[in-house]
Amino acid sequence: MSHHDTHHDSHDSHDSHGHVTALSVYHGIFAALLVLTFITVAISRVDFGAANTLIAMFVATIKASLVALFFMHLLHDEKLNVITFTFSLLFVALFFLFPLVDITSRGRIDDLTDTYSLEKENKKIEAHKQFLKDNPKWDQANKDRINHFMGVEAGQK
Amino acid sequence: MSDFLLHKHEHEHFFYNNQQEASSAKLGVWLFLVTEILLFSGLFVAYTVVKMQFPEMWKVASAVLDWKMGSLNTVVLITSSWTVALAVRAAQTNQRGEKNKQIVGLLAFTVVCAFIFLVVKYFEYSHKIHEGLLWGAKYTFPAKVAELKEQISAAFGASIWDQKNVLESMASLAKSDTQMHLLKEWTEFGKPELQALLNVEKPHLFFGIYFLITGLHGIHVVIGMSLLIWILIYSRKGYFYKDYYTPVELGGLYWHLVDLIWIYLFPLLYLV
Amino acid sequence: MSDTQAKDYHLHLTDEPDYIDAKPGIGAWLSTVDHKRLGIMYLFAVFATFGLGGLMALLVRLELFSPGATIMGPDTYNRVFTLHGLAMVFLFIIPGIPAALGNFVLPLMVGAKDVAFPRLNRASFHVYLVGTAMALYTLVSGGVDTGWTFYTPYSSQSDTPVVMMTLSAFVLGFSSIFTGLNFIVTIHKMRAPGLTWDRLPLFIWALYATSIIQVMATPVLGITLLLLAMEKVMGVGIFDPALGGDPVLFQHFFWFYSHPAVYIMILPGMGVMSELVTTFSRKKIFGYRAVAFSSLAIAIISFLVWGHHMFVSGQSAYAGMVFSFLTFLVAIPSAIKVFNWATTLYKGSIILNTPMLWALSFLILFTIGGLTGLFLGTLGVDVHLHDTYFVVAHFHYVMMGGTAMAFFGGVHYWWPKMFGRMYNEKLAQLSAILVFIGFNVTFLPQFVMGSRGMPRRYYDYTPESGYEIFHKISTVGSWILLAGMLIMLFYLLQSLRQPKNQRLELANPWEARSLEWLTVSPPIEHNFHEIPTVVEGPYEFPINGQKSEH
Repeated sequence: MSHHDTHHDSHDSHDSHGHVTALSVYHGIFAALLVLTFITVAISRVDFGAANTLIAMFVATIKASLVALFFMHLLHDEKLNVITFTFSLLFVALFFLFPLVDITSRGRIDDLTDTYSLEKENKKIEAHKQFLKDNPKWDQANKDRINHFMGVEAGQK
Repeated sequence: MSDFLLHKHEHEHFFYNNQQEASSAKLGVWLFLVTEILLFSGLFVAYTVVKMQFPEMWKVASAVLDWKMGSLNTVVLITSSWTVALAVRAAQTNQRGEKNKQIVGLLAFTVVCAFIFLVVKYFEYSHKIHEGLLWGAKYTFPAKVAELKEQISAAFGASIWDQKNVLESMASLAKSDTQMHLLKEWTEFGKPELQALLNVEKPHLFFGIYFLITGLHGIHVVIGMSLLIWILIYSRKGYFYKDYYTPVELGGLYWHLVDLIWIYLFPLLYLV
Repeated sequence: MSDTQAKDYHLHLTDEPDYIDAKPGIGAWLSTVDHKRLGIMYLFAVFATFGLGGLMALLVRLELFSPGATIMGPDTYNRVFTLHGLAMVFLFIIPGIPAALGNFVLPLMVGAKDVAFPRLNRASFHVYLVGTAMALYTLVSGGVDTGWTFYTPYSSQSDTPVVMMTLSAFVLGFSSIFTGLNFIVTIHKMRAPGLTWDRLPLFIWALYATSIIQVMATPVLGITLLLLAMEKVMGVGIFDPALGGDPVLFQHFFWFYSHPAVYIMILPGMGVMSELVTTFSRKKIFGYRAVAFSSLAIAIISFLVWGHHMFVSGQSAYAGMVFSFLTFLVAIPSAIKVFNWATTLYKGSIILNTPMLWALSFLILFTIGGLTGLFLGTLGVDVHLHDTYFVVAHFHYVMMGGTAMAFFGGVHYWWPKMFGRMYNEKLAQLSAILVFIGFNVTFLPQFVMGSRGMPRRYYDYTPESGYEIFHKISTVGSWILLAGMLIMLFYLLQSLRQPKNQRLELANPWEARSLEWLTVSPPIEHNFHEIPTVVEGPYEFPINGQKSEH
């Protein structure tokens, strides 16, 4: 069956051998990574309190960027691969974000939205009590409906 | 005419040329790396959530990990990343097979680094197992400490605990084999970082996450090693040269990911 | 050889056998890397798993026909509905359209000879078989009773084969990832000359968006299931409150995957919709760019809303508010699609054949399902509706009324291309109508009883509760559905027993314009004799019923 080379425009045209990074760059990045590792450990000896983790992550990210850009060739690679990698980090961030929002805001809805006040709640309770007094038929109908279901529950096995 | 080994590569029939094939393979591997990143992110999230819920415990428990071993492993992995990148470059510039040996050498060095990493991990793990610093119900450290203390009281007399420096006293008194053995054990178990564990709640959560995340990472180190060995075998036979070095490059990418994950693991577990 | 433009492409027969006859024998099929063979095998597999899940559904509905025990006890009931969920979600609907239809159609539609990684494709299918076998094994070893959602702490403590089931889902996840990865690379790197992104059929855009979700979300399911298995086997304790863990954390992990997963389910269905609606109204899609980008928008926004499954779980009310707000966002791109399909139909030259009937079913039922989702996304309302039959009805309207209808529509649309045979049109229309009616009879009452408080996953209800009549109607509906599906099974199998038509006759029975119709039916093993060059979009139908050039 026939096979022929058709011209196609579906991707970037790099020279088919890819970009060759200079040896000195590789050696330099390696040295930098070792230095940064040293810094990572040294910095961890100083206590910045709550910022400890952030600083450690910052240094780690610099190291990771060097590995990604140079050792993994992203600096000279097709944009698509760079986008693929970066995009995934966005989703990782999302995965972190919402559970942290959850964990840090449990039980604090009232602080956060400033919706609760004891006076407002008491006023509501008083108003409802008054409503029941003014509408005895509504109250009774409601009680009957509840009793009907409750009566049924009582008869359940 | 060269006397080096060189296999000319023929692309699959459904690709138009070598370049489309190589470019597709690379995108495929990057997508796969993305799945690995998302896989590990679950463990990082679990780490963050538990750490935020038990900050004091976390600080105490992570001080137990040996940062020197962790640093050594970091240096080992970074070095292996460097050598595998050099191996890819060697394949990229391999004109007639003259760099075959260099590729093999660099890949072999990388594999050796991986092996050293696993050996260091083995020592770390066996210490933890010995000290009972494991996950969930297997966290037997307090029980082990209690048992050891009893044995020491029996061997040295209960008054040993009233001494200012227990270890020094034990060292001066130790004569029998049992006493020497107990002294060695207490040197390990009696360390302040370890003893601090007795005063925090639920330290097994830290160790559970520690073993899960380093265990999963370790599995990936083994997978990466196997991949690199396989590529090494083929590079000996002259399969990789400037027009076809895709497997070396992609194997290298996988190995770099293993390194990347450790770059984050190391400070998170050992240093903060 | 010169490039052939898609417009001038002339079909011709050669001696070359089609992909079904080439390399015969079971061994050849099981070891094949041909995307078409893999697609067909997936098709049979998902029909079978749909049957399994459907059987479980019929049993559930039978049990609920009357109060009290009807055909099974409560423990069995829990296992039956769990298997219904697991089989339908992991074995049918997630692989469904992408693996069965997508595998077959995608390379043809982009003018390629195969996907980018055919051996990975084969691995995907084999892994699917292994995962399915593992799931079936749990069936024979007693069955899991946790619900397909595996919530902790019950799942960590249940003594049913949870670990085996979670591992089977873990394995199946790889199948999904491999398919998604393959599709993304194929779409980026292997399009035919001239097939620019804005000339891609919308089915491809939909599969692309689906694949992004598959690649990004499924690994999180992987780690979740792994952590659950470790929790059970090792007693790690991050989900178990007794050990200091947080069961809501499991739900965060689980839904981070499972919400985007429902978009893995619906997006390909929406893609099929675009093809059916255009071909059978002989009109190009209204708002191509909007529909294309809405697929991507759905893929991305789907990752922002998972907490709407957890409004009453114990997550913070603040997080609930955030998720509720974001949930409304995700309705927008879906609505854009529905408007655009409806507008495409307007003043189109409608052909009311079987695939179109399925498409119209989708349009109506998915809209109902989507709108009811808004009620559920509203935090205050969801507090009352959560875990009731309202939720059950909602997701069946979108998953079955949506994806399953689109799946059947796609099967009927591409049937002649896949097999070189046509099915009995009259029976097919009857089946489509029966399924539509049966579906509504089954699920519409569930909205009502759900809003009146009937909880989901409950084995029983009292005679005084007033739900009995709704349950009875719903069960009868399930029998109508069964009838429709049996008729479909009958005529589809019957069509396969006919001899293959002349391969040119059925090459393009719908006179559609996308590339898969530019080759014989069934296609040859390498898809095209010459790869065509594309010069126009996929929906350029000739106006006023003029016969197309080929």
